[in-house]
Amino acid sequence: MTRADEVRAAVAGHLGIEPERLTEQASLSQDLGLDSLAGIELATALEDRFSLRITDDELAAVKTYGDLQRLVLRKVAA
Amino acid sequence: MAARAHHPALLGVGGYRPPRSVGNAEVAGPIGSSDEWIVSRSGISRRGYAGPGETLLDMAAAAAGKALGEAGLPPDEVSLVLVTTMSNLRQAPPLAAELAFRIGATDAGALDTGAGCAGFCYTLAVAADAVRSGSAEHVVVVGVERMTDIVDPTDRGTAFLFGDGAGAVVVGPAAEAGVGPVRWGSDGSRAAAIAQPYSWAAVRDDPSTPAPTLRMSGQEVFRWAVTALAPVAADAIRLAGLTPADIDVFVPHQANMRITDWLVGGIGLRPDVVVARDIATTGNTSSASIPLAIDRLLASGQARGGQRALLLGFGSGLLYAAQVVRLP
Repeated sequence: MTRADEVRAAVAGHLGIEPERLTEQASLSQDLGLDSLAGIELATALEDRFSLRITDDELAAVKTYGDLQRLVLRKVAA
Repeated sequence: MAARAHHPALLGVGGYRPPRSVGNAEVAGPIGSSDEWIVSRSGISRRGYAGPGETLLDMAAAAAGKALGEAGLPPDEVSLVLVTTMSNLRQAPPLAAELAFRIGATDAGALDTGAGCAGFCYTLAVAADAVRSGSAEHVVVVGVERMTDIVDPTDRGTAFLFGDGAGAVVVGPAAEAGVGPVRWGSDGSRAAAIAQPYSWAAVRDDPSTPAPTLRMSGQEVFRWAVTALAPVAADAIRLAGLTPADIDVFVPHQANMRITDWLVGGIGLRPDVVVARDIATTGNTSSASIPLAIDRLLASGQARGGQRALLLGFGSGLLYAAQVVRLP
């Protein structure tokens, strides 16, 4: 399992959805139905799962699943 | 000269809820919102609004009277009255003095405290320490709020959240400790997260200035709550000499149902723990929310006397405080 797969599995598990729905272009708000609080809950879950810290500004810039996965992978690599 | 020290315990609890219960439809209009949006964001369906005839003093006295009745304690045996509130628009006289007189605790010490939505847990800790040290034998602790006096009904971030009411407990001596050590703390770097944006002095100096109603950075507070508070709760459990599995009932400040849900998982409480969800019909009553929630859990039979409950207060400051108690 690649790191990207791990992130996808963690997000799918947190949201209780099929990983296939987490496409690059999937909008967190429009396609996945996350409101701002759900976005914070998801970010917090990922912080715990991957031992990283996502700032408020970084989270605010995340619009799609692709944005989120890139952010987490960059943090994990750092 | 040594005062007699005692183990502090909760001896009684009482609440006052304004009869006027306001549904989401009424508060949604001025903020261009909807019932569905409010429920999904907060878990709140209704909240109580006090009328002009339901003052802080009236509500506090009603709740304190019920708590004294539950404790079976004559008011003249109360040696200290503590009132915590963030919505008293008068600085003088201290509300606690009037309350002590109103409930018949005519020679009691009296003190107002202010710790925002964390006020009840903070003040309960002070009360427990007073009993523990022998400074007071029986203490009445009241959280009372008219949040409608300090919230702007057109502010989208706060208007739908808050409600009015009062909750009280009687703390007194018992054979075994019923109020555990407090874990309290603050993060003043986030003072602006829940705050009046300026002082009433601005209104005094320029009467055209609107009242300094409460403003909240909801997302910042939510994120802080879901990251900072579970370790605080874990500390309080450990200070009581317990583990999360020993907790029967969880009574967090009724800030937002989604924060409550997150904390249940974050603290690692038992799957069958009873969780206070009074916010659904009471709204966020700030310092009154925890005693009101305890009162409802006991009255409804969801929880019973003798169970171990984790209390967790948090809010403006930002402040937080937690302790484990035996329910009265």
